[in-house]
Amino acid sequence: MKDESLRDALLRGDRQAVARMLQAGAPERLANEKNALLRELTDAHLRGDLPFCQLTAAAQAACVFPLKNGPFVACCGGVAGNTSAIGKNYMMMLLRAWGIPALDLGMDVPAEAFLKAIRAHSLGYAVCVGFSAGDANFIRGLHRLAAEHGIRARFRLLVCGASLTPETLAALPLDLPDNRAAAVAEWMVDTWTK
Amino acid sequence: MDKVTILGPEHFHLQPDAPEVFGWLGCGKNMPCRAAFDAAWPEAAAMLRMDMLPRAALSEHEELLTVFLTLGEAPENRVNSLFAEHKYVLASLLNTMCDQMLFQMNHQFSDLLQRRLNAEHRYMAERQEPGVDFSPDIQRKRFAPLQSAFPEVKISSRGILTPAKSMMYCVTLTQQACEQTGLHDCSKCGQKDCIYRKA
Repeated sequence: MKDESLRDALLRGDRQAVARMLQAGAPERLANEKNALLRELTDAHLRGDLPFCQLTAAAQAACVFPLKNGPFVACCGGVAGNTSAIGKNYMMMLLRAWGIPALDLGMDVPAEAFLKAIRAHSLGYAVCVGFSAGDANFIRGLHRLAAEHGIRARFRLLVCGASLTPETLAALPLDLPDNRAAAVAEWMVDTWTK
Repeated sequence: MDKVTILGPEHFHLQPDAPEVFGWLGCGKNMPCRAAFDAAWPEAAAMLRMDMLPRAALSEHEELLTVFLTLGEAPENRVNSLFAEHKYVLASLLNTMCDQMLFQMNHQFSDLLQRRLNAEHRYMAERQEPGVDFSPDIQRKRFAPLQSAFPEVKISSRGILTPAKSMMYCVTLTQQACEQTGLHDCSKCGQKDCIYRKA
């Protein structure tokens, strides 16, 4: 029987096959291969060459890799007024696939609750999941509140999913002027591991 | 006093359509992930049949109709649970199927409404959408006559409906013969990268 590659198993979203490979050993090498494939898929998706469903399948299989023991590094929640969980679910999915321990704050989260989580867990990232152009005000408010509490420099502020133009994104006090979930997750990996 | 009409599941014939769902997902037949989505289809379709409770409501206030359509709370809860269990392919597929069911409901309801109105020599003029044509405060006022029939429904400070697999819009009426169908106009929406966008 021909040996199956990790790449093929991830692309097919086959969790059982990935689990078998992990059981056979070399988890670090496999984790590196997994992250290299996620990067390839993410870049292709961001170029518009690959639909999100392929990232979804790969993320499903990638979740077989255990999260490193340790504290949360990020929080993710739907901004106040956003009660639909789908955007937050996809963002959490990508973070889990990359192996980033993230605290799920749920939906309809006020700025104060983001700050509370950042303080309580010494988080390095806050991902605000939005849905409309009006989310720009939430981002500005969270930034201002964090600055007033003297903790703005402690974390990176990100947004995902809102209908914001590139001009609006560039004008907001964000650490990454990109609201695409795949771009946000990849950037977090790059900055977290440095 | 607003006139309120409630329609139950017996008024809707909803059937998931695989080519359309896979088209929205961009999941082509030659993609490596397609087998996983194909394998998940029967389970997702079974969950959908088990969970969805399609209901619609219409309130009439002078020359303005308010329409509310929902699949109920269970489909959304199921999707969220599947995401929490890392069953992302199934969750994603079920979520897209639910949206398709809402769109089918919308078409079927619109047909029913159009026939009923035309029999009364009344016609749909303009479709108005929350978040685009009216504020959350007005949205809540317009939904108020339907609240007692749907006590579980909430409208957030930003106009988002709970259960999420719901839809609300308003239609203005005219007595002049008009071809308007009361269906959604994508060109009025700012979400340019929406997978369902037609304009």
